[in-house]
Amino acid sequence: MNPNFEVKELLEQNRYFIEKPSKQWILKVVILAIILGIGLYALVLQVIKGHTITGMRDNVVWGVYIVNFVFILGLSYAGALLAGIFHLGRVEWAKPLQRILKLITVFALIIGPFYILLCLGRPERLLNLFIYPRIQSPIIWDVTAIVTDLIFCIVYMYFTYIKDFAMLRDITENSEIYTWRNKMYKFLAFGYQDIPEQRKLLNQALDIMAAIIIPTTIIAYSLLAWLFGMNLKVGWHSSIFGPFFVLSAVYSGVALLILIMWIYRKKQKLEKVFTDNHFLYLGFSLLVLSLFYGYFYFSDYITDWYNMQKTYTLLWEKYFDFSQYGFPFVISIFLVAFLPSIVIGIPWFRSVNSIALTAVLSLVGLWMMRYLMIVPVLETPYLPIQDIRENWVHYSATWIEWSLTIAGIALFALFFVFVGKLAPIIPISEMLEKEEPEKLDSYDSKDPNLVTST
Amino acid sequence: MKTNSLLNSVTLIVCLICSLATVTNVVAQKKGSTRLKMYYEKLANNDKKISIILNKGKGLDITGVENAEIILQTIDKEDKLKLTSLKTNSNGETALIIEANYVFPIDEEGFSIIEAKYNGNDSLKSAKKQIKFIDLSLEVSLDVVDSVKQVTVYAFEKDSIGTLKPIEGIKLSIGVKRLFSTLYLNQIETNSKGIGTMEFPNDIAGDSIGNITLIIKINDHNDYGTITKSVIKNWGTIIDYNTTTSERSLFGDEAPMWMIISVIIILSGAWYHFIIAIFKVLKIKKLELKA
Repeated sequence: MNPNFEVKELLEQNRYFIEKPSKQWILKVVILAIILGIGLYALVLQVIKGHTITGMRDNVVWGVYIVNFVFILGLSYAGALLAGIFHLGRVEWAKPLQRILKLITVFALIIGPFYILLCLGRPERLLNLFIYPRIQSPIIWDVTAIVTDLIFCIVYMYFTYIKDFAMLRDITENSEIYTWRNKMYKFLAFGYQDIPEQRKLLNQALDIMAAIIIPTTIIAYSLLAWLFGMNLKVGWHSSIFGPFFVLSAVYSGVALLILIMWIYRKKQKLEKVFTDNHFLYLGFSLLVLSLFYGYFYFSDYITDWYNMQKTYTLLWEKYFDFSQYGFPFVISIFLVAFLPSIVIGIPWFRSVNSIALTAVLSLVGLWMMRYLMIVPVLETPYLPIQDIRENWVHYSATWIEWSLTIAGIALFALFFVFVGKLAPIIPISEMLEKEEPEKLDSYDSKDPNLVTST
Repeated sequence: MKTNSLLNSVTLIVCLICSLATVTNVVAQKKGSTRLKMYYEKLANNDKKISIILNKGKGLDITGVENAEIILQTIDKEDKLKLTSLKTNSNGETALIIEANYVFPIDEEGFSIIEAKYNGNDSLKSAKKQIKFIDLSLEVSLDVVDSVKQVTVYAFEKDSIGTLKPIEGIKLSIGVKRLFSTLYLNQIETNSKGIGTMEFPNDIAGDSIGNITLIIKINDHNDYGTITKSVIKNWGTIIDYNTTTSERSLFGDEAPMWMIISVIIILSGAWYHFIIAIFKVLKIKKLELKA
């Protein structure tokens, strides 16, 4: 995809980030902050009263929190994986998506681990993981992977921002209004002047980061899968879990990317940046991933079903029993494995809006699938649960867990709202650099209209 | 005249009816046929096993007769000596194991005769079956000659005064006992001295100390029945089936070496490249002055 627009045009389209906060923007922040505040209140209650105010009990020790943890980390790893692959593959049409992917990666990687902390009955003991680590423990593998990945992803994201920071530094240089912004951009641009040597060094650094991010994310998410797979539990103890997790992550990452693209396209009028073709390409990716997901799921299912050991039978009966998990199971399978084939596969249904809607529904389905992967399994141990209260056997999330879940989504959105105010959501410099390098010189950094019109 | 004719007719009809009733009664009381089968087998410990099957019916409807009493007796010239009576199981089968030291009467040709008898009941006919067998003995010697493992089997009969008579032309199947069945290695035939030999292979898997159970078998011979002999010898290759599995490292005190090395390689490889990338970006700052 050749960008057929000028730098100035791009900046004009993305000027919202240098404009003063509008009332709409402030309202958005306030609403998100209120949701976040409710979540914080729930958190305080949980810390004071303990897990007794959640739905988690002795048998179902993991609930919505761990579902969120797995789901959000999946989004993060998918963002990094796709960004790395698009970068190394020099995929021109994917350049406008790079920034969103990296933001998804970092924000999700910051928010996701909070949910695992919420599962801890004694969070103060978390430090023991680092003081007395056991290399044999899959939990240590996961903690190491997440920390490593977080550092790599933040640095990778920053590297991709350097060129834009340099450009913004030059644009805001003579502005009297944005002196603090100029200082910030100057600091963050790290002395980048776009001379050939600097450009070469930065591109090399980006190549290296992209190359190490890909295996790091695959390993990191596989480790999370093995954390489940190495448990001798029905439904978890499966060798397919590693690749299945990675596939699910990429699937949910593509779906979230489509959703965020759609939001920015509508809100910021970025039709020229996030074109119909972007939705089409990613829509078809969603379709292919959904088919693979269906194949993986069926493969896992038929292997369990054919042997039909007693506890496996009990678990699968719960999935097919409409008085238990039948409805969520059928709905989520439909959303995840079949809906993209119908909406995107049949041209009559296919449009930007329908693809975005399919992406949202797929995300919902993928979250539900992870819930079904965790909660019914914990309710089906090898040793039958006996002589225990009914509400201790079956898990049901409380408002505490739901409010903290929604707070996580609000925080994710809030990050996007704030970051969108500091720098453009699309990598402007990078988009123009490869195709027509001379265009970088075409923007007039002293053009007063870019900053003084605000 | 008319009266006589009518009387004759009535008499004829009555006779016909009576005849028909008699025939019907005979048909109704006809008993089912039965059939006895007997097998003789000399076991590895020289005990003798007599297996009996009592069937009823014909063709595809043959089934075993359950809970039937079978009388077993030996025949010595004209006399019959009752051994025991046995009850059949649900398949119509029963068996008697006779200890090795029991001496059967033999006829002039050296045959022992055993008869099985079923007396029948209200619905089944009686049945009788005899088997004749000669008590053949097998002696096995296992030797290593010039590093070659050799199995030698001697087949002989023992007459009433204890004289050994070698038997020629006996086909012997030789094998080793495996977990579920016998692995047959070869079939040999005894010579005029009653001796058959076979070279034993070197690559037969044994147990943890190399022991194998050698099986020598004569299968359903007309005169000698089925004879099995077994010998245990340490001619097999040593295989320890109770191999101890390595400790589940994830629950052990120390991580396995491969895990430590893998973690170090993966993490150091990733961080090494990360530092290279950082240095490249640091150089950008230095180049600012040049710009």
